[in-house]
Amino acid sequence: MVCDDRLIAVGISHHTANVEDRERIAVAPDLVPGILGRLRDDGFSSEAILLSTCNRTELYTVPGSRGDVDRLARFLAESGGVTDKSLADKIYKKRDQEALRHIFRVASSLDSLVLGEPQIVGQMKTALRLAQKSNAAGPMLHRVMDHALRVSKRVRTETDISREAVSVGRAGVELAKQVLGTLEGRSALLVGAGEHGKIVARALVDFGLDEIVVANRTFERAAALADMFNGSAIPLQEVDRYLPRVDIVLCSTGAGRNLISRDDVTAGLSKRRGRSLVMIDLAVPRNIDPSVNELSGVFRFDIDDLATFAGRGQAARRDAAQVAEGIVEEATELHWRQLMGEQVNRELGRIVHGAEQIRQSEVERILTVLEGLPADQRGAVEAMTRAIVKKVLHQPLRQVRDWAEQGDIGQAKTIFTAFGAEAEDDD
Amino acid sequence: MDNLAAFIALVCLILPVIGEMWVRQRGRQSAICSHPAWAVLATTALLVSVVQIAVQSGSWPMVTVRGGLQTLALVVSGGWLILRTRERMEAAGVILLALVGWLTAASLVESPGAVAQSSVSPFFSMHLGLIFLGLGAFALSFALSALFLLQRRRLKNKNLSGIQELPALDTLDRLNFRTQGFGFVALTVGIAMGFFLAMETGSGRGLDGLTFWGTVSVWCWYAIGLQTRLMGGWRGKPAAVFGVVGFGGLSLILGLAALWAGGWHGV
Repeated sequence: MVCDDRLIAVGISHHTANVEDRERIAVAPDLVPGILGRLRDDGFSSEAILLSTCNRTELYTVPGSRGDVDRLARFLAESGGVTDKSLADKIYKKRDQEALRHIFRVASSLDSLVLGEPQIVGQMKTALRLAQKSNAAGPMLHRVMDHALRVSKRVRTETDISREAVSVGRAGVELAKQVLGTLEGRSALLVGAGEHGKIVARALVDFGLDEIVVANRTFERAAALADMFNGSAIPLQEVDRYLPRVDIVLCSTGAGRNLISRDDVTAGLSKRRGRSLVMIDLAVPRNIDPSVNELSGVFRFDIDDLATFAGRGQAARRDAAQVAEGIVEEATELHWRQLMGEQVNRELGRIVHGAEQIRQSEVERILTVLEGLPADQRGAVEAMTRAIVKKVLHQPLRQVRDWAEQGDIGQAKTIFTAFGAEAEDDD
Repeated sequence: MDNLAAFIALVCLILPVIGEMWVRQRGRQSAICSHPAWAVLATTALLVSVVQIAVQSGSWPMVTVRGGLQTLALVVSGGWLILRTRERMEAAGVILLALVGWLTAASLVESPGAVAQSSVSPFFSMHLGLIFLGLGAFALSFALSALFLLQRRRLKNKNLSGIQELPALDTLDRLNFRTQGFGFVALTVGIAMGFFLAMETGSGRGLDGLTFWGTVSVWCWYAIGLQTRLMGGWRGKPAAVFGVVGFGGLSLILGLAALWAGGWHGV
């Protein structure tokens, strides 16, 4: 079955799933190239981008010969190792213009947990870079992402949606201060080099944190990060040793499992002499055993808690969001037509190219039979066949352009199918 | 009305509560009802009342049950006015001003009481003054402990809306330790002075009965709490529970003493 859709977005987000379900389907950056490669090799997509953040895992694709929306949704769940059907209802599926609108909304942080938050733009750029490295992003998705980033910029400059948007970093600072009172004289342990971890660590340092220790799987990376914060670096294996000493633990790795267990924390509690410990788990899947929150003096927060806390000012940004939705809607209409126009032009080009190839081979064959034909008459045959092809194609192609301009891609597809151009994939 | 100032203090404490309830029932908010001026007025009225009792009796106000209750109420309300100068301490007022109201109301129910001749010595007054200062500090510690437990519960349960209305946990814990420590020192010196006073008079009066043993029990309770905090690192929740239970026990003993034992040391 050939898929009728031009653009598909399938995914799971904070709107449909809680953090436990999101982390089941989250994809670590080093696994993305493999997944995108499999999508292409299995014929599910001709172009694909995988966006996996703490709040969402989404697949944007131009479907291939075997790719339809249900298969892609199943593929996304299975790529995260989820084979049961419990997540099926939580994966949303969007097609064509609806998919484009969704991508624009995500880029403009209208779909974000914290309305107006700025991190999503960087995360989308990273997803595009990963797809480019894996040769998975073709012309269509390049254009889609390009438009999405432009729309995002327009939304942020023309509306107040980003004004006073409490960042995740600031939320982390405020929650830590709510337990510890002041950050002066306090120390933090940053485990991993994830984006959110760096943001919160930076905010903590800016708000007076005295000391920061960075642990990472790669020691060199830990040392580089520690330099950024005027801190010190330790190997990942030494995290346990630092738990009794620090006041704040930030975890933001892509390890995909618990790095700090309840036993690790319990072991260090007696040495803390009742001092409070704030543990902020920014990773999805989580890195800190959630049950540590039950321990006396330990306060554990995850990305959802930070977002909830940060989202308190959302009401004030909702008016701006309404204006932003208008911008997104207008841009979706405009860019979808542009994208379809470009797609139609590419396919029309294929039809014209195919017809020209047929003409050339037919002319070549007939001229072999009519050997010795004078050059002027050979030229006349060439001109005549060109004119025939042009005239035969003129009306259907013009009609296709008209349909495309009116946004009626379905009718145009009938013509493409008739000419055999539809089944081909972009390279 | 033989104690108009205390009555005015009580009105200043009750009126904003009734006003707040009335306004809230209509789905509105009022800055007037929650204004700290009510607490300032109540504290001033209590001060006037306590001075009036002292002038009338020709002795320290604490030597009678009524004067003692009002002095304690004054210490607590004054303590709160100092405490609320710190950030986000308004919430402690809900607990403390309710206690002040309760003490003031109880003092008005009590008869003014006669002053024993032996109770007018400065040494005796200092003994009582320190005891009341200690009790006031424990009342503040109780409010801080209750706020700590409330705030801790919110943070543990991820009920994050409105957590910034209350002070940080470590701030509450630190202030709780200080007030408990201050109260403990005052109570210790007060008890010691009372002991020497009893020995000096040779009567040994006051070294038995509910108030004495109750006060000693409370002293022991806070001594254990502070010791475990200093030596064993019992901070946070255990310290807050100590503060709440300690003051609860103290209130029970004082209540029983007032109802059954006929006042302090049966006076």
